[in-house]
Amino acid sequence: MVSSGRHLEALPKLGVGLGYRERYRSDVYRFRSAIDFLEIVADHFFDPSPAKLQELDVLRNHFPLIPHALALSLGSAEGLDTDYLKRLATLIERIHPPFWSEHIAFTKAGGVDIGHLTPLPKTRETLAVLRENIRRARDVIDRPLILENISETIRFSGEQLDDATFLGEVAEQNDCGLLLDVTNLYTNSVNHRFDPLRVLWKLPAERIVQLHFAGGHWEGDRLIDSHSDSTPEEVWQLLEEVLKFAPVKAVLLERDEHLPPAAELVAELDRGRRCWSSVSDES
Amino acid sequence: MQAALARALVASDAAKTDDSLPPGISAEDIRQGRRTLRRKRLSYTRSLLPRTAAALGDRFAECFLGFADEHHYSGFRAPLLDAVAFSRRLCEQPDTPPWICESARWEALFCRWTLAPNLLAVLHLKYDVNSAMTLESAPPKRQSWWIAWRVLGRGAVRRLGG
Repeated sequence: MVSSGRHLEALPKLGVGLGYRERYRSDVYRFRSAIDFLEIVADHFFDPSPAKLQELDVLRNHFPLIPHALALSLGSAEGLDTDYLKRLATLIERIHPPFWSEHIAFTKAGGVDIGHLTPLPKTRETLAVLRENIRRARDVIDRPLILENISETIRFSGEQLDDATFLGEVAEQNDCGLLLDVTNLYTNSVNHRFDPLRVLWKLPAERIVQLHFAGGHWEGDRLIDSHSDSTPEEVWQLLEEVLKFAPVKAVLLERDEHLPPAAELVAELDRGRRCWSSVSDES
Repeated sequence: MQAALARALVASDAAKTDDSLPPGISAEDIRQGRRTLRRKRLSYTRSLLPRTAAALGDRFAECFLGFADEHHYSGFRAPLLDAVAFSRRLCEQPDTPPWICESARWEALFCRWTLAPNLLAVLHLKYDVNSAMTLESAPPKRQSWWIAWRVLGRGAVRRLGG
């Protein structure tokens, strides 16, 4: 099935946002004018206490919220985690986001919950697994889905598709948007030695809805996508190329480790906004 | 293939799993994946036990990584389970100073509170665990009793006295 993706054009332009972390609970209001939207980790709001529900409702009243799921395991050959799907659907029902996001990865197999996004071999068999799982997720969640490329610590021999073809096929076959993690694209290009622009230019531009950016750290000769540092210059440059290439609706900064004062993140958001504006002015 | 890969990534004994890796996957990639996973768990646990982590300094990571090799929890509650079990492990170690043990128990109480649909726990603290402390220097002594309760999702952590 190849589809047009026209429904993605109708999604609202959200602007520049921040990945919400509890540590910044009060800062997001303090710096409200610098943050256009928040992405919440869906898992953090499963089985919420009354206080957590209240926190969610207050956030929802002040910001557009995008739920970002971590462990639906869309790539699991043995099918979806239905319990997780139910909890995710309940959350999405509560906040009515314009879209929601998950990863092109698996996190569960053979009764083991890895607790981490694990890459999938880029094969036709994997595309079929993703099709079936995404169809099942959509039976329960009736909101546009965008899918994120992950940082690949593992590469498989004998893959049938290259990175761009695989990502493009996943999006086209399932009529989904793409959440292009620019840092992951850059990280993979460094660790697996390819030109990130060659991948970017082969992607279906009209399907790139949202971007993620962050900084990682080096472990020996490997770059690790740890969201632990400020965004490096190379990622800023790639981000700019993506913004020139695709009609992006939302750009989001992630930070999970070495959490700095909020003002530092706001400075990065401002740079992201300037980057986006300069590209818009050119076109 | 996925099941074998999942088992290899969470295995505690890297050497054993290297022999049973799915074809086409390098042992070095698995080792890297395992390091990334443990690092992520460390980061979550640090954020759930922040005062204990600050007081222990570098020893926190050292102790946690040893613990992480032997335990692996499943599901979206795994970070909380990690924090609770690790705080217990810290307190079992004879070289953990009593004030750090108290800090770990105190911070783990909030994790237990979040985890449990029903909970009744009483905690006796001899130190003011919310004050600055390090591995070598204790926070001020301040005796207190706390009660944590939760029934059907509602409850609180309250000071009883001291």
